Amino acid sequence: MRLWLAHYWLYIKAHKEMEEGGSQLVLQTAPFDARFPYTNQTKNCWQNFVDFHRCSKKLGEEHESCKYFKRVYTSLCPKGWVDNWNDQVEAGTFPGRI
Amino acid sequence: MRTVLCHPYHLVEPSPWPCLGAGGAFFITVGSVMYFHYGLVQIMYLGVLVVVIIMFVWWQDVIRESTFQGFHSLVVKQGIKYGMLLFILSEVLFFFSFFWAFFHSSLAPAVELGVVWPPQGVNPLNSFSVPLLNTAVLLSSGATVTWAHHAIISGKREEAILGLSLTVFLGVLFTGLQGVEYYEAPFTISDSVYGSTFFMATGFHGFHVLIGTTFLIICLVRLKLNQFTSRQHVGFEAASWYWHFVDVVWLFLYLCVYWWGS
Repeated sequence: MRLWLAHYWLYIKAHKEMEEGGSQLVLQTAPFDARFPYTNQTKNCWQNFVDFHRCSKKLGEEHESCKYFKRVYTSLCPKGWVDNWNDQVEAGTFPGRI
Repeated sequence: MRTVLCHPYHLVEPSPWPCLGAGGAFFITVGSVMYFHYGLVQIMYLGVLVVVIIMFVWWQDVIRESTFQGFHSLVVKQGIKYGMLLFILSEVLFFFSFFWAFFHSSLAPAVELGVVWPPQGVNPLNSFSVPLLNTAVLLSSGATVTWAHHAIISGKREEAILGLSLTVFLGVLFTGLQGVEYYEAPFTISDSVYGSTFFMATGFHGFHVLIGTTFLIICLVRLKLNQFTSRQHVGFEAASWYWHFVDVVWLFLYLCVYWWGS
């Protein structure tokens, strides 16, 4: 949670700086996450997908914090995986705890 | 005719068993392919039957040469013991591969499993129930086989028979309990990599317990037939080494697969 807060803070800061600088377009990909230091980012993708659903359950999909998780997993995960997992979440067969 | 040997080695007579045994193994291989592809079991059973018969007659020859003809000198016995130890070492490596598979899958569980071990939805067996009892059963059998060994060395025939009978009984009890445990298990070998690694590792261990029990039963029969002396009992020693090996594999299975893995 603390790690995530640090990322989130950096993300907001970047956003604000860009907006103050007059730029409208913010280009950003998933930041480095010390929990997933290896080349294989499968579990980083997975964790953000799970965190997004946990977050949505608590705060609603439109909450800024949840949007952050969604941006990260959309950036990291292959689309096929996300489609598959969304089907599983709908069917109640997703293996992660949400 | 008397021959004088100028060396301590046993030069065996030409024997048909290696060739016929290989033929039986070939039938098992071809028969297994026929079974896997067409459900035809006859050839496989024929292969098993041939191999079992060859095992019987081959070891019958070995017993004749050692116990009744006295060909097994100190050097020959030493060679057999080294051979048995190397065989057991190869068995250790065999089980090493199943532990490797288990740890590969369980130390960093894949996303398909929910990144947890045991995988999401798999209810493992309670390690403090029957598996703990089985640990006690196998450890006790290790003690009784040592009792039998010391009885043989001390020339106490009745005690040796009692100790070995108890060992065989505990071995059979273990197999029975494992059978019940398998029957009652809430997961199967096709339930994720958990089921695959669990039944592959514990199943092969169970198979080795059956082999070890057979080995001990043969030793018990030979003990009753007065074929072991306090100085000449390599067959028994090999059986007890094998049994201890099976025992140690179980300890690791219990600690890793049953306890930590649940």
